[in-house]
Amino acid sequence: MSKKQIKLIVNGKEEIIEVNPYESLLKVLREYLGLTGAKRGCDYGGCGVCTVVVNGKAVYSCMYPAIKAEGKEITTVEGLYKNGKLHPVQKAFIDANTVQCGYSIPGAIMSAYALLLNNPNPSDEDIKEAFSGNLCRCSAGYYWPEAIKLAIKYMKQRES
Amino acid sequence: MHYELKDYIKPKTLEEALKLLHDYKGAAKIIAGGTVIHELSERNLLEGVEYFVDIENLGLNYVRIEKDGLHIGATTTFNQIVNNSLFTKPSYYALYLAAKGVSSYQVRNVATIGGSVCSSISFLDVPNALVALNAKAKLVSLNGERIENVENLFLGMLNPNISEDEILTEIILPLEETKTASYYMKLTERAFDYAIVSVGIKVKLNENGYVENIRTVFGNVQPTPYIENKVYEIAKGKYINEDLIKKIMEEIPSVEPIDSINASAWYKKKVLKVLFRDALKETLEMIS
Repeated sequence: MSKKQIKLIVNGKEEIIEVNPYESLLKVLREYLGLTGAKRGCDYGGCGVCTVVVNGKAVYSCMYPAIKAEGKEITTVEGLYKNGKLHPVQKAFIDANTVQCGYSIPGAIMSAYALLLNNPNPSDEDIKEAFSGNLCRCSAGYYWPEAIKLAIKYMKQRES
Repeated sequence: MHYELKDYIKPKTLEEALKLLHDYKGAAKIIAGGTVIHELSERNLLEGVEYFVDIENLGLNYVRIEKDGLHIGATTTFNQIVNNSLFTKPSYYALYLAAKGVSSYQVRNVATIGGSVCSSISFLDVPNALVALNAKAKLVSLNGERIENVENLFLGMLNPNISEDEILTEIILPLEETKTASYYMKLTERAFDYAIVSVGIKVKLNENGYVENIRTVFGNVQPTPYIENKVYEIAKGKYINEDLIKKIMEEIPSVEPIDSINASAWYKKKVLKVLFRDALKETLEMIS
């Protein structure tokens, strides 16, 4: 099996790495680039803890080939924290008490981030849909929709 | 995801992709969104595959109305269908519901309409809805192209009627029709599960409200989408009322369902009747 050299743009930074032809973006992020925010959960595209944003869309990085991501903008939860400041979505997730065990949070935050990127004023139905691919077992997920509403408020405050 | 490939190739043109498929014969497999491929690799069902040919960059991502129908490029994702207001029109509503019913938003962002057909999996919703809508598919190879009714593309589970050197490039739906509506309904154990059984319906009434055409498809009842002709036979030229619906329910399904991991044939048979009734009522409501 020959390795391939690819160029990825992760959180705005160019990374040149060698990957196996069919290797998941999740593995590359975690094991080659040390970005462990995205978690390995079910590995079957169902639990959502591996969610990252590729070209503005939330995807399951466990089933997204790294080579497919070449040349696209990849954002992980690590990329939201900038200049010593939390992203409004991150702050909202903390303030809305969405964290109990915390395992699903990086994925849920990325789904929330992608939602607000594409739709700054989502309806309740849109919010439900955006989280349809993220599971939470410890029940704090109940507060995710509230976090979205709080994030919208923080984003508006940031703009004004 | 740890399948050992010799190479993952991203051709830039359709010709280049077709040539790769031709040269590598069965050793090359097409990958689009990669969701079904991922499942196949996890289940060791990719024996003999040495190359993936990624068709994402071939310009097959579009939805456009032409004279002969609504053309949907093969790599159009489920979410692109859900977010396109064309598909909320009654004539295409079954496809909208089928695509929206795929539970994970993240899967819908990458899974493609072409991939769902080429997988030939009986419980996937989008192919069943396409058959209900009388969709055709265009398949291209170095030897030329063919247009097939989508229902003719399934030979059995994971066994599409598509040769190794062909690419499904687009799906073609009939143009929007008047007095027509369609609907898709599935029964699942939990919201994010695959369908136990599903029903896709398209109804066209004439100006007086009598049945001009009904196309009914049952998903996961047979290893391939099952077109239930009984419904049209009974309802043809008639006005649909409660009595007629009851009569149809007695007669369907006209085939013995297959047992599957989530339900027995006996259960599927019972529940299909009810699912059909509900889906038909929803469809009619959209016409009136």
